[in-house]
Amino acid sequence: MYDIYDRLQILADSAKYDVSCSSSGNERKNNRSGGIGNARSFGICHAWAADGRCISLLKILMTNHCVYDCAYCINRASNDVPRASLTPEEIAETTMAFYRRNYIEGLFLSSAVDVSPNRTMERIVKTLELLRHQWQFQGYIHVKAIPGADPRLIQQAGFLADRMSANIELPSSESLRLLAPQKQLKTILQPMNQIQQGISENRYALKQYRNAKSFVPAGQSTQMIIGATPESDFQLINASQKLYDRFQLKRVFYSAYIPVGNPKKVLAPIPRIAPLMREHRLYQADWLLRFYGFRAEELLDEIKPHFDADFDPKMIWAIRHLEQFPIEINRAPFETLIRVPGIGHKTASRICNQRQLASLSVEEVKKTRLVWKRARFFLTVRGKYYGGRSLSPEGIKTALQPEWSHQLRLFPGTKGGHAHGLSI
Amino acid sequence: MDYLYDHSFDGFLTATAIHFQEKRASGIFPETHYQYRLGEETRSIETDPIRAATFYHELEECFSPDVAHKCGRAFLSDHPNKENLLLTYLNFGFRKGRGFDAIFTHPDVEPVQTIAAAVEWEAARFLGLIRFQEIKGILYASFSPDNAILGLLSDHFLDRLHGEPWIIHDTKRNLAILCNGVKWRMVPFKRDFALTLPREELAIQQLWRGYFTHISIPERKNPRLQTQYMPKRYWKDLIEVNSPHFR
Repeated sequence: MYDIYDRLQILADSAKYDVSCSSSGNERKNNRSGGIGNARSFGICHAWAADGRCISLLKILMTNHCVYDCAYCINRASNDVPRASLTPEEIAETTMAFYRRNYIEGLFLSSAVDVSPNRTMERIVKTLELLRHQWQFQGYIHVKAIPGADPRLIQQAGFLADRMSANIELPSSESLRLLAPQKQLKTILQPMNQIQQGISENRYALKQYRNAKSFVPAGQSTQMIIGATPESDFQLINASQKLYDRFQLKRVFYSAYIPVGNPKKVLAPIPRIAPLMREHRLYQADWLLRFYGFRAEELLDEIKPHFDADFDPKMIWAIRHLEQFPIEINRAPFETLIRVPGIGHKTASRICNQRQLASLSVEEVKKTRLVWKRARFFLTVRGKYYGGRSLSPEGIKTALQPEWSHQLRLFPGTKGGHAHGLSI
Repeated sequence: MDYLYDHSFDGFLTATAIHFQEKRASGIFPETHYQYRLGEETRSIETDPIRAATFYHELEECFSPDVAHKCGRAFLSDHPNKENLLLTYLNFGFRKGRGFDAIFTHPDVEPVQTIAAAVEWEAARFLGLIRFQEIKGILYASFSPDNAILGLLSDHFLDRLHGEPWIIHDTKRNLAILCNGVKWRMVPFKRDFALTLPREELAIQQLWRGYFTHISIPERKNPRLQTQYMPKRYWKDLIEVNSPHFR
């Protein structure tokens, strides 16, 4: 038997491939409830680990003893890793000790399935009850809906947690059959469906009754592993779009597949671009779907199903749609402005606010903190075009070339030379 | 004529009110750091809290609550010339009128926007980066932020740690917020002795350090990204990275 220190480390090691960390989406005042803690809608990051990822929640598994043998997962039954479990009491106490010292924003509790989905979900619910009722914890809780568990248990968890998630992991039934033969897409989507219905019913209840308890107030999220199976970026981003449309998910997280242990079955597709860069591109595209009004089929299609190592998805989209450019920065509506590479939400609203008073000169445009060297190809300022002689895909790409070698330095392990020659 | 004030926001607002309502100042400076300039007369401004409050209210009325709020934030900046940036900003405002703040790119507006945003950013960052240590039932945290953001943290932690006594100590400015769980107060504060931590506290810190190390994925090690979010100058007060092992 390990002591608590060792077990916490083992279970952190087991949980770390789950990428979700956000503590956002719900605002809850303590209001002198007699308890401790609150939740802030903007989310708070508390620390950044050596891999640069933020630590917001105590991300931990209840146990890593698992009956499943999913090829991509570090905790699969056939993998030789140290195994440990924490009791609901231990998890609650550690969460409180860390929370009071402001190490964390709350708890992200997940678990391997050691006996049955129901047994696992029961222990998760018990932990949440301890925290919410006995410790009067008002901080953030993100909890995993264990696929296959009794809907009543998921319902109970939903009234105690801020956010819930059910991980899709692999975006197609074939991949799932190959790498996780004991799981089915149907059983994964079932809790997701239940949570979504629960949330929309709850929205009504909250309006009608003053004392209604909120159900998963910060919404639900999911995660997909990328690079373990041969799905294209187009399939992935399409799957995300469906999830956003159908289940109103708050987030889809992408996790670049890292071979853990001794994987035998994993299909090793020839990597088109380094996995971390691919993950980065998917996140960029995901932002375009959620905040920039893009649709998946605008960004990629069957003929060009992959993102590019050298240019971000918005730039690729713009280069392919030169017929829509250039736009006049002093007149284009907000929705068009944010589609220009190098202009984000903040810059676009800055431009819209300022041009109401007086049209912007080119010097002023440069000072709005847009990325001029990228945006200049796609706009005119007071009717004048600053993008050089001709507006052609090759011309823009050549002019931008020096930029990507710099960009790639953000990703250790991705050598500039490696990515070279993989343009679209 | 240069106006000299007493470092307080009320003092600054009083000086600014006199500038706009009585006699123009050529600059506003904190009295203790003032370097006398040749041929420049000075006037010591006596802080008038009522006049300051009235003037602040006028800023809200004349421009917008957001502009007044922004002045308050920019004033907390560690920019050595923040008073005169603010003075230029407001001069421009009274010349242009309501809505002047949207002319983001104007050289009189942009610096204030920038330093106010930096203050907001740092305060938001420290909601997460404050680290308490429990000593005799009191939660104590020390930190040394770039800007004077101590006061911006108080309401958040009062709500979060309701009922618990805590201290947040700005070691750079020798100030602290003392909170008894219900109310807080900002006081001058200095600690010139080393903390002796109880064994339980050390055990929890050890647990946290272990967790912090293990949650990182070795294949994705990226120290540059880490320090981008968590600059090294903050590390000495961060439990997870301040032990000799990490330095």
